[in-house]
Amino acid sequence: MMKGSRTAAVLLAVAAVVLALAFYYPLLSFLTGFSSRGGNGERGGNPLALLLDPYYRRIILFTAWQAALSAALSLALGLPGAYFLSHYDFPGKRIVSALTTVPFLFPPILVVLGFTLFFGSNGWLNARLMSFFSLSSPPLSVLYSITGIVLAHAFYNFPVVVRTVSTAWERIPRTEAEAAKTLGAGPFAVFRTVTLPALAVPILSSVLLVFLFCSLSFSVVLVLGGGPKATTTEVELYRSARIELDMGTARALASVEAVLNFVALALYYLVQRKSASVRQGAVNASRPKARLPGTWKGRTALSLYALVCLLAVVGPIASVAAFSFLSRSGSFGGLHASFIWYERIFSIGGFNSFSREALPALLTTSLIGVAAATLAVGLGGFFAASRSERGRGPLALFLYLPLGTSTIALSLALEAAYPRLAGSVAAVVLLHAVIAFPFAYASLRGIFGRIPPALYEAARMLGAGPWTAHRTVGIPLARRGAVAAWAFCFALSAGELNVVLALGIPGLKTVPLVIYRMVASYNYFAASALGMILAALSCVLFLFSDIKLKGDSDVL
Amino acid sequence: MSCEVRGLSKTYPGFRLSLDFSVETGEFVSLVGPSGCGKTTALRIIAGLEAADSGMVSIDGRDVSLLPPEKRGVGFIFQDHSLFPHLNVERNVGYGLDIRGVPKLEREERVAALLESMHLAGYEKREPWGLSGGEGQRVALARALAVRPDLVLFDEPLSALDPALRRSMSAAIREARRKIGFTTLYVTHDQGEALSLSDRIIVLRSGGIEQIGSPEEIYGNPRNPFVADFFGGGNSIPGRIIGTAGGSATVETSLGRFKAGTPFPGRSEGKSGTFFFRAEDSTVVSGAERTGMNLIRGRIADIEFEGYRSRISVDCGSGFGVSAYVPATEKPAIGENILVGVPLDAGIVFIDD
Repeated sequence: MMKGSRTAAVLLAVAAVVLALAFYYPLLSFLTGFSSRGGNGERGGNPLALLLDPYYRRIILFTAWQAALSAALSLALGLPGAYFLSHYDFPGKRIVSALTTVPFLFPPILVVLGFTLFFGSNGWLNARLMSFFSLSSPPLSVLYSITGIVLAHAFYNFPVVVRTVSTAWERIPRTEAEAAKTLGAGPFAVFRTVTLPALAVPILSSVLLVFLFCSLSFSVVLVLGGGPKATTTEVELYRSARIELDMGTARALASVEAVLNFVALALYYLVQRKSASVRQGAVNASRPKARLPGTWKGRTALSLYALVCLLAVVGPIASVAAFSFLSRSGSFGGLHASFIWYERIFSIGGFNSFSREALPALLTTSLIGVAAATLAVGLGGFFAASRSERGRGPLALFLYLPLGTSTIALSLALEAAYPRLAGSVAAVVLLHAVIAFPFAYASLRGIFGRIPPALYEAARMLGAGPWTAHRTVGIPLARRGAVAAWAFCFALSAGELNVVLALGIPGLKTVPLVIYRMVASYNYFAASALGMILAALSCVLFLFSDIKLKGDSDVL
Repeated sequence: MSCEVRGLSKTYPGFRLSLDFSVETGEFVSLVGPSGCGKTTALRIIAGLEAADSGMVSIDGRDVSLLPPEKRGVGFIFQDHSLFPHLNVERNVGYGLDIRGVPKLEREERVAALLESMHLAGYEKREPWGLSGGEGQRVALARALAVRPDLVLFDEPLSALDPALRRSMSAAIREARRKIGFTTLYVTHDQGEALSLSDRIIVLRSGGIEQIGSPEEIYGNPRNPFVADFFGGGNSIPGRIIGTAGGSATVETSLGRFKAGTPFPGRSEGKSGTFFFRAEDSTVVSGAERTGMNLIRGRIADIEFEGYRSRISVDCGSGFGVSAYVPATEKPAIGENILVGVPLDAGIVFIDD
């Protein structure tokens, strides 16, 4: 009796068709080779032959190796954070916890820029170390090697571990540890017998997610990697398709990559399912937490950890911020504070190419972001609302598939399937929407899932039809969450470089693309200024809605 | 505004609901039974929230079996009040009127009047999360009554409340009925609630009706040991029926012969049967009071002090025990040999199936 109406089914079908046409059809036909007829310069293209070639085998192994190292380092950096966040109510905790969403929305190209400015040979850290120890050459050489890639990935992804694990840690009923203590368990035994079993699933799922993100990471490896020695399948895929124009190899690489990533995604999905069935405990809300660790040891540990995070996270971001306000007099002159880059961005019709590019790029990026976010939230909403009353079936894996799909491969696939579309901005909007869709779906699903079915029933009993019940109860309750999801998708689109670079649409310049070109030509100051505006646009919007949402979620 | 349920059935694996009953206009009927007996399913089918496999539900002579919930004109009170968290009290109560397009002015008037009569005046702008459990449930009742439903269905509305609130909420329901006069079907697993609120009680057990009757009938004249046990409980002593002369029955048990004074239908000599009596009807007797009583000999095994009385558990040997009450002024001791007396008109004899 409570089944959705026919209109709901039609809308759901429309959403499914859009997803099928924009994602499944192009990708599958690209990977299986259906859309390769008359392709440009096809050579080989056999995934198995690729696996036998030592050159490609090394790239594939390197991809997995750097992703594994990055995941391990993220875990090491993330666990203490998860502990502190779940056990103490220190000042500024809310902001810190909101900041853990940063990796999902901070543009990767800015991470690259920040790392170059902070850890690079001429970067802030090396400069300080040189002057402090009176060295003649920079002591740290982390960039353009696996170290640089792993550090950047860990910095970028450890908040994923913090977020996932701290949420689970917070939900372990404190009485469980107390029961263990009364039965004679010491602190280590409590950790081993109570805490660790409860955290195993969240730890595993966050590590898998980080692994997936790192094996699909593009900008970081493209810029911070070091040529053939430190490159990944994703970058090699881009190189084959766009520089060597060898679509056969590109497709073979994409196939191998797709299989590996699908395995990782499927594992992640299975672990997630398990976590959903294991524990649905409420937060230990009734008992207040301490503001800070009670012992000096605990406080020292917290301070040390905060310092490491400050260095790893705030260092690169602060470098970008600082560089955006600096300028150099002449080619080799000294640095001085300056607003010149911001002035140039907002000066209309200047002679400088930067002035001519920046503002239109900001506008283009914003428009694409608005369109893509709206589409993603719309699609996600249809799926989430219609599935809210049912359990999560294996079908959900297919909805999450874009999360584990190479954006470069997806771009190439769309181009092969719809050559005319691929030359327009619409292709970017569509692909950004597809990439953002899993995030929109997951967050809206969570929101709709928290609305008790009895509320819909109450509305029905008071005379509301199925649609009126949705309009007057479901949608108002999901609205705030949907706004946050929208802001998130906007940030994702605004910071996205891969699709724009891979499609290479003539005349289309987005902010990440302009920044990428400036970084490539060592124009760090202007890149920083533009990056700051992009980051401000994305983060402020999202952090605001995230904090608003947190306060709001008490309603449900 | 009567409600009629005919041949209603719904089958789940290992469970079959099968119901026939009616609720008269203005009547308060309770569906009572242990968890899993199908009472909530029955209520949800009548509301239209779930579909029956077969059967008919009619409200006020109108077959509503195929109508969606919003077209049935039925009010529903949920266990956890289910107030809309994004609407304040006034808008929650006015929700149904709003859906029906009642003009704002009239809506506000009706909501205010209703809140007034539910002792909720001044709560208009309060948000649901700021309400206590009892207040929330009263708002939920006001919300359901605002659209003047023909029939109000209650799904264990008091079970989430603590005992003190339960009492005041059930008083609120009685008061609202006196003032507004609605027809009620009320689901509960709490026998006390059913006895104190209902005009009639329908006792359910694994999907079927065990007995329908007034609270007095259900309590005083249960049809079988299940109903007797569910409403009040007591002592059951198995045996064999040896006589049904003169409107009474005699049962031979391992604890002796017992006679029940209540009218006994049919001739059932030789069948196995059960002698049942409530602990509160029995007393500890001394020699002088023995006449006109069934007597059970035993030793006190346990004593529970309950304030104005004490409940004693009596070990009668051969594996049987019964319980009885004594006034708190008496001070029995564990191990003491006593006689438990059950007046003839307090015993009930059930024929076993």
